[in-house]
Amino acid sequence: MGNETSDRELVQRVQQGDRRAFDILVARYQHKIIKLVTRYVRDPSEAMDVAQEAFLKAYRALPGFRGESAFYTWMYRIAINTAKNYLVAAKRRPVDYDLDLQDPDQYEMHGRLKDTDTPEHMVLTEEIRQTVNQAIEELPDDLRTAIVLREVEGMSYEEIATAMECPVGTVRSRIFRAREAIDRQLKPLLD
Amino acid sequence: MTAHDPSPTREQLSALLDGELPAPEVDLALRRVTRDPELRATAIRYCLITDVIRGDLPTHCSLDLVDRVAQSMDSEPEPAAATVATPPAATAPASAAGRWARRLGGLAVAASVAGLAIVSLQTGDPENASQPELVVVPDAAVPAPAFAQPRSIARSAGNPDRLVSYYVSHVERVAPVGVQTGFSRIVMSEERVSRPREAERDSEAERREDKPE
Repeated sequence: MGNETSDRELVQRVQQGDRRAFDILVARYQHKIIKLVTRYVRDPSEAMDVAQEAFLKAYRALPGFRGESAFYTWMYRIAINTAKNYLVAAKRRPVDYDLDLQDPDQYEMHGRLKDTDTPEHMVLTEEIRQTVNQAIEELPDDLRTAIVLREVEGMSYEEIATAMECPVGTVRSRIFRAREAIDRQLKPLLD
Repeated sequence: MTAHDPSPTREQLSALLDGELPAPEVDLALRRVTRDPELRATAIRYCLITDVIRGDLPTHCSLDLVDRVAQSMDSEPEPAAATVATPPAATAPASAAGRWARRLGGLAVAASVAGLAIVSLQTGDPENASQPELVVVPDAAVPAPAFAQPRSIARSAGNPDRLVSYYVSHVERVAPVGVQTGFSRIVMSEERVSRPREAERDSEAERREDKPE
């Protein structure tokens, strides 16, 4: 809904030559794309490479993107194709696109950790998750409700305003303050 | 609020990422976020927060993919099809327009022969004849080939000798090896002759333009 609007604006900026606008699109979809790619390429570091390649392909093809579908839908297809091509190029069985982790052979082939998938990485991911969740728990009720309605329920500011019986401007401010409060705890972890 | 207080900008960023920023503010906010590294970093963290709340964070969280992609983008040229969105004539600088005119003049004979050939093709095979109009890159409906296509398509779309190129590539595709039609022989030879001449003319003209008045 809302994301599509700002995606369109960002895409237009990239098409006008503003490369940095693409960073925001990458930031917005990187984890979804990595999760998607990981269904095909189990190794986390390889999945990261494939995700990077997929974004690059999207960037190169973006001038021809006419916005007939949502950016994410388009990006999603590019990522799937990149992952499939990667497997073919790596001479791996081009998978029955739903790898089963319970299958010991497949697990052996795709599931082993590489050096880059260090326990530190996984610990950091878990720390990020805990920090954000903890910060949400500590939010005042009105801020927590606003951010949850937005992020979990996907409601628009107007819908949230109706649900919380307050002006749209208040919703915008509450969501922002919630993000700032979470960000204050998250930032030191990433610096 | 003072000018040093980042909150108004960050609040704009928050609303922007939600697609809830009023239209008149969007352009300015986007310009800020793409030019201010601190604001960009904040945007990335806001997106990370969203991913955590929505459960989209993978087990192996990426913290540097944005930078990796950005670095790769910076190390390659602008996407070649960037002019597809706007008509080349509207965006081309004046000197390029002059070059265009020269190229057009230089290729008048080749283009007219090719045009004749196209007319002939249209009569014979209307489906193939419509192909030069496919200027816009197909999007992800067929994503794999779409990556390879934009540059060549863009070149032919913004090029005065696109009719010749089209005809040559058409012949390459449809004619069996070693077999050329009369038209193809004319166009091919015209193409071979006109390209070096055209390049010569261009470089000569550029040399003249470079000389101080």
